[in-house]
Amino acid sequence: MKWLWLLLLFPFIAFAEEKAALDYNDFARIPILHEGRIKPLDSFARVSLKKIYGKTSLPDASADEWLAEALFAPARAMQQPIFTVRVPLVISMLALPSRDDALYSFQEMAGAFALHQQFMAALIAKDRKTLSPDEQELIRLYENINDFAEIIGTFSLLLPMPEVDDAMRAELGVSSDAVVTYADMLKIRHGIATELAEVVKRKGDRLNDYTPHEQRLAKASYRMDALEAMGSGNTLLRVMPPAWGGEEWLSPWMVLEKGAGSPASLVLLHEWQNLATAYNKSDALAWKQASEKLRMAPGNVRPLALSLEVAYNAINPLGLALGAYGLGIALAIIGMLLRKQIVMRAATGVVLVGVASHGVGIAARMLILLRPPVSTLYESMIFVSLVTAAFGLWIERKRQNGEGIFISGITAGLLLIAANVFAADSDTLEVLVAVLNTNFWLATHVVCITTGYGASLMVGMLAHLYLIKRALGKNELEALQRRMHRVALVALLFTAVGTMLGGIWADQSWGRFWGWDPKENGALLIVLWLIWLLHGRIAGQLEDLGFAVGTALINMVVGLAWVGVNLLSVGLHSYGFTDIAANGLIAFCVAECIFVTVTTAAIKLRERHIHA
Amino acid sequence: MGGGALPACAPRFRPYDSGIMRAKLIVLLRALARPTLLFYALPWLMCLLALGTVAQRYIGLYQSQNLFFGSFLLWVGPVPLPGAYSLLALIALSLLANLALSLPFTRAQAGIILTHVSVVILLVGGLMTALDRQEGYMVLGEGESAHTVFDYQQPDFVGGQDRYSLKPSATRELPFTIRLKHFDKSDYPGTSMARSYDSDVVVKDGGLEWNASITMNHPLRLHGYTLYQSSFIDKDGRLLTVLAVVKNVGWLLPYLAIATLCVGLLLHLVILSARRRA
Repeated sequence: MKWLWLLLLFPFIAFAEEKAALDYNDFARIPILHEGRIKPLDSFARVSLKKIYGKTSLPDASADEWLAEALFAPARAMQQPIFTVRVPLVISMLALPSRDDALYSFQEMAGAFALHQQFMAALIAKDRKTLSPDEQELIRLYENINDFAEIIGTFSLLLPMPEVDDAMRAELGVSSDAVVTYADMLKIRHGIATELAEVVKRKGDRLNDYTPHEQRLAKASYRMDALEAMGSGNTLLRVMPPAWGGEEWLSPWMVLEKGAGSPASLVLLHEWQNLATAYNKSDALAWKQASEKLRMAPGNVRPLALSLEVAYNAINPLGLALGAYGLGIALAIIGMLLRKQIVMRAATGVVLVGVASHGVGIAARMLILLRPPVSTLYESMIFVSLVTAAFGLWIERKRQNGEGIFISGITAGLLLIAANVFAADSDTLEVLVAVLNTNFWLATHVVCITTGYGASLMVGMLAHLYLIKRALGKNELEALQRRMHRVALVALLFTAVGTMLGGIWADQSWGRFWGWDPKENGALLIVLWLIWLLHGRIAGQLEDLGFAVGTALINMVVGLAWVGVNLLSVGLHSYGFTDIAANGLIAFCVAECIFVTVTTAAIKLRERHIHA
Repeated sequence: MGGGALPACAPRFRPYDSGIMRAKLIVLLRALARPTLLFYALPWLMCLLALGTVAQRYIGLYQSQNLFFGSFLLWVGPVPLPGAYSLLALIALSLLANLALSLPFTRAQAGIILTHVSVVILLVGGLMTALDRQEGYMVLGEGESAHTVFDYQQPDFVGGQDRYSLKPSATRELPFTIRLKHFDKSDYPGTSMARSYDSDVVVKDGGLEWNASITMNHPLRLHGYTLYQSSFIDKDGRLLTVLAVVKNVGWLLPYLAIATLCVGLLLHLVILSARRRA
């Protein structure tokens, strides 16, 4: 619990009350090594704030402004209510005051947790899977507090030491108005220790007997010990590029501890100090200069990629696409109700813009990460979403009755929402485990199979449409049936080839073509389901209605094969699992079954009526 | 899969007078060739697939593989039900009978025929793998060499995803020797998450000697054997590489099958579009 020191150290440091209008453009692009890759500070700020607060910005501040305050005005940051407590029971467990927004400051949280140190230590030692939701929330909060403590302690070595007097300044060889920090004081630390030891030997350890200078010596020494204790193990903000080669970026404290500094890192630290000073003095010009220099730090090998990532964060092309799909659905419904061609054209146009933005977003991610579009569960979801939206446009182009836009808008939109739910609390631009780290197979097998998922979902949605129309007694369903058959064949092509390519990848990586791994089985299940439907139709076993019901249920099969197998958490493919997935999937399957049952019953009733 | 115009089983064969047995055989083959058979076999296969997948969580991959995917009969108490092997064999026979008797060899059916041929290739590949496949592994430290492998049964994933339980049964001689020059495991900077594993080896084959590199997704193929970068062992700070050594005569067939399948289905889609346009 190193952060207990923070409660003691920071409140006494003066800070500027006013927030200045500073330019965060360069600050956002400063490189940092986080979770295995160099990313802009902006991404780090957003991910950190999302973990703690739940959103990527505060009501009155952007993530960058929040991070700057935490780094350079820690005393103020400690009092901001930003920690969201999601479980009400935890609030009473921690004896926190009850609040409508359930937001608490670091000071409150740290104080509350300080009373439960042993309990937390025991909790952390337990296996995560055995914990109750309350306990998991406690651990989540506890980790967030630790992370925040690391963030606000990052530059504690650069904060002014209030105990420094003229004698010490003279010893350091700086002018009497110079700001002196822990990092500066390291030079004379040995001298202070010797001097203080002599004082203690002469006068004992009662501070009241000391001269003012001796008192300041003792306090400075104490503060340095405290800062050091707090700073050791502060590794979160790896903003110092490797001074002597390699890829391992270090945090400022790590540089001091490991003695890994170089003249270049001293220059960099000095620049951070300038930035901190400029922040606290609200000096816009100095701030701009310092952040510009830091942005162009020597280790920043891909500044354009960082700029692209900042733009990706700010523009949020996937969010734009989601909005476009929502608007497209609304317009398509209006168009279908009013039978106005022009409204449906507008719907198509809006979705087209959405698809373009979606595509640009995925392309930007590829450029940032230098890898093919799909490698994680999140990426598979946003990619399948794009595939379904594009399929919808294709179907719409052929039929021009709003239906293609309607079904693809719903599928693509829901998938984007699901992706956001799954990716909660994490950076969606993450690095990959070794076996997945191969661009060729990701580009072929994974793209192929996810396109197959998308096509399968589209044929499933067409079947939904068929069932609804037939239940409503609409005629002229042949064209729709033909389209279903065609899309089913396309789905079979992509899922079958994708599954077999997966086998070939497995043959290349693990030495077996087929290993009955859950994800392999899931993909095979979709393929078999499609084959069964197509053959049942030819053999005459499946009538039109049976074929449509089977096809509608493919959505469920895809859901089980794609997300469901991750819930089994066995096998080589079980990446990206979250608790929400289980409930969401069950609800989805139940809803699909109810839909199919209700529409089938309605069709039977109506058609019996007609025949009678 | 097929266009709407395909008759369920076109009678292209007339029974010869020369033998009732022969006529009966053809009746049997024609029954086999019906898609009806597939219509009932597939749901059961899908059931086995689903059960075998879910069962992995409880009894592990190896057990559930034997039970659900690697047997001719699945015993539910005293009742024998068809296992995956029986079903696959039945599907294979049906496919062959269908290709021989039912499918009209016309240009319009070319895509369908190719697609079905690809499935036959795939099933033959599966059969060859099931009949003749040797799997083993070798563990090497830097500087060490080996010309034998330990056979093991399938690695088992009971409980967690990384807990292998290898069951060595015998050692086997290889016709070549592998010496590990250097093993390298690199992590993503600032994390303990593996980015790649690389084994630099020297291959001694008869009088010849050459360098080779085995990495994740890039195996070394030699004399019918394939050596994969499987994993590594951290033995008191010294890293040992684990190479999987597999001999599988059927390894090329899936590659062939996928090419055939791809061409077949694409062709069928093109033919459908062309017919629709005409």
